[in-house]
Amino acid sequence: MSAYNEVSTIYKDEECLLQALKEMGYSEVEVHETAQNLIGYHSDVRTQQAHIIIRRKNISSASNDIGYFKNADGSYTEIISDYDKVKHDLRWRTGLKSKYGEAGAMKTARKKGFKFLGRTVVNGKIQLRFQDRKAG
Amino acid sequence: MANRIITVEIDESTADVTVDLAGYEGKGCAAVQEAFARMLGNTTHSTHKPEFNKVPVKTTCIKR
Repeated sequence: MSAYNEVSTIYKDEECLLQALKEMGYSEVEVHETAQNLIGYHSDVRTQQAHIIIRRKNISSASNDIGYFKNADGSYTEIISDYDKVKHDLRWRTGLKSKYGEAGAMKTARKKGFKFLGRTVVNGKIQLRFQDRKAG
Repeated sequence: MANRIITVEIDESTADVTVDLAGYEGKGCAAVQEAFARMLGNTTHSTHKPEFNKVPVKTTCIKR
């Protein structure tokens, strides 16, 4: 049985986290109002619970569920097994963070009424440009 | 109206985010910065451009 690890994250927005997961290849994700138990490799119900769950059938046959538990402060804690950390390593998690950052920046700009000017990638850096048209 | 441009830069190798605000003065700058920080994480480093501290010049005409 692979042990689960809990990792604090910067994710605070459900919509942006779901979008980032989709862009990282997980479009089938469960979202729950009340945290649900994660399921392990042997179809065993684990004690760990999460509000956003990628079920193991959508990862690989030997995987455990991956979950994101919503804390009281609105941030999410990632719950991932030792086994799944091999596929979802630092590089994968950095990719997820980048996608979340992009989705979060776009959502913030939309909320503030900024005009989107464009997206460029220069030397491994994604640049999103906006114009604030409000008088001030 | 001032031409205020916001550039959000995301480093794909570290996922670090830099928000550059051009054309803002004082409070307006802080409000935009805070909105992005609320969504993307805590600010670790912040610098101000010269225009941040620009005080608007008020001209008064006195009739003699």
